[in-house]
Amino acid sequence: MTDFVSRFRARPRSDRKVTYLSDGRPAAELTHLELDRRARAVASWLTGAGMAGRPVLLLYPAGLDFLVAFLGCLYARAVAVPAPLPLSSSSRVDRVDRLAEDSGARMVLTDEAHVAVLGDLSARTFDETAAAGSGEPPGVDADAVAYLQYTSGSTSRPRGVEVTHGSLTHNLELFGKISGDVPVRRIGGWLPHHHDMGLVGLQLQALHAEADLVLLSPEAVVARPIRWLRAISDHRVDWTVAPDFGYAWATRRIGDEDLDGLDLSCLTMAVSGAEPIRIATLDAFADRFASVGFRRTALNPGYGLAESTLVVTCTSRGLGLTVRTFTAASLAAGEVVPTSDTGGVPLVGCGEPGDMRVRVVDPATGVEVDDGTIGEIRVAGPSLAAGYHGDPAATRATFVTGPDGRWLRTGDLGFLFERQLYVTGRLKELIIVRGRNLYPQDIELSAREAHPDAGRGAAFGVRDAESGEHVVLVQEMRRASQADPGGFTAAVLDAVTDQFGVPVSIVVVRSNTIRHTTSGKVRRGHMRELFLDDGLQALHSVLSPAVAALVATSAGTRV
Amino acid sequence: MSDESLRAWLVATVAGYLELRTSQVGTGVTLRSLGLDSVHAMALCVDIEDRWGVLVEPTLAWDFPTIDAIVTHLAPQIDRP
Repeated sequence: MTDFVSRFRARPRSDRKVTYLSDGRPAAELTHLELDRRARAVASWLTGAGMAGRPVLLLYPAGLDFLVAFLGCLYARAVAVPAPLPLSSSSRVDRVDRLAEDSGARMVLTDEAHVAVLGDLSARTFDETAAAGSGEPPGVDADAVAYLQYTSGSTSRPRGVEVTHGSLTHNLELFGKISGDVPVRRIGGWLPHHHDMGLVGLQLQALHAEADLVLLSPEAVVARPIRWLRAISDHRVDWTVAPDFGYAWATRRIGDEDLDGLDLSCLTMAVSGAEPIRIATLDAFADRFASVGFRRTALNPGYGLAESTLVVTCTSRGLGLTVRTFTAASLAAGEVVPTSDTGGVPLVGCGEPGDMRVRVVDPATGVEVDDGTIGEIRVAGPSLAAGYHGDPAATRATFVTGPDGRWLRTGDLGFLFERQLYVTGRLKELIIVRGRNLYPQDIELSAREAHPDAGRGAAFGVRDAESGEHVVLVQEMRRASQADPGGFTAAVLDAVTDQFGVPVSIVVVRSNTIRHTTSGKVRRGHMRELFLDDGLQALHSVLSPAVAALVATSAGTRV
Repeated sequence: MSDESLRAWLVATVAGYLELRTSQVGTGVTLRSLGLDSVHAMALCVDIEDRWGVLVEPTLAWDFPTIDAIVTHLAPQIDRP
């Protein structure tokens, strides 16, 4: 298989272009041919600077310069390290410092506008005036690391996934198969280029598939999501990608008056991925935009993660949603039973495993389970990354090599049913009470709906050697609430215990106590530590005696 | 336009983002404490621009952390009839 870089370099097209739509300014454009010429010049300069095989941190705003720099690194065999451009706040600068340290990057590239701002990092712009080397660089080694994909994760330590040229190429070929008989013609979207879905799912896919690419900035689309749909309509985009949040935000924020002249009939692939897929979000989006030509069959959920470059499974273009409803009791028991009852839980399939093999295993034994049984999702195939940069222990623990090959432990829970993969939660957050699997997000949702003043919640399990696992819920009560904390606590407890039938210990706290990651995921592990250290300021709490004893012991021994 | 109509509009708008009753949105408490996140803060800038015709910094909700502070900041910039 010709690798991505060699293939793109061999025939960059002058009739395909990358367009960046910047609000209030003329669109910036580069043909694939121009992009290749500029990337060659950057590569020549990087080679001259001795950067082959070395990491280069790329700090760029949304726009075209990032892609020039990224390709330049890959051409020069330097290891690209895309990262978010830090804002002025110090915490973000700290994050960049940690990335620079973890990746070992000594060179930081940015654009003209940010050189001064990033002065502390000795950032510089690339120099395209260096004489382009004559002749072609040596062939690409498929096992060489092309770039490091840092995942935000909920851990304080950044983790750089080593994506090789071979795994990148395989994953991009997978996109071609998902596209089907008709190759993708125009890809459009706004996900940031330091996000795996924005980098591989939008930008690199467009280059590999010889498609036009239309880019917007995440900030512009969050401010006015109509810009995203307008770009699709104006540029006749047939493929877009967004997380569940993007579809929900567009549905909520776009008014009827914005729909004038909008035509989404060109869109045949709207991938939803990167976070749990809610059927309610997709239904609302499809209903909202049906009048302007949006086809429900364009909604195609997928499952993937950076450790598999990006995609593992994705619904093929045009197939639309596969929704199956299962009984809540069977999901809790871990053996799914489909139902047609209205009280069932609808789940969205994430596509059929194909070139990437998928196994669902008992997480304790590693033994494969039957279809319809919930277990840990494991993945094998040529898209798997080489490992975590500079962390052989984490690499060995996550990429497990056995007699049957190399398998990625995803840490995600799910099941196979009628050949489709369904994702149900995360392994490490799963709470098991007397053999029943309880998902923290379900408990949190139940609590939020129990009382109008209920804010965010964090549910987790705490374990006692004798009595087993107990459910704890840290629940925010909105600051503006006039409710009596005791009555509020009782209402939440009633609803949650009623629905799940297990005892729940609860700590009611003020708004903004629950910690979450920058992408909005609740940091349940962190809240669990705070709870066990007796580090929460409770407005009210009701703890079972066993849990209260655990806190006392744990907080006491940690001091 | 009176300061009060701007204040009432901010209360209603913020209550809409956070799915709160307007009675729950105090004008002297910080928006962050009510649960306003960065996406809501961006939406607030856009909605102020659309409704009141003034351009505001994306950091408005952090620079002027309460509704009262936003009113004091914006009122002089908004045309009065």
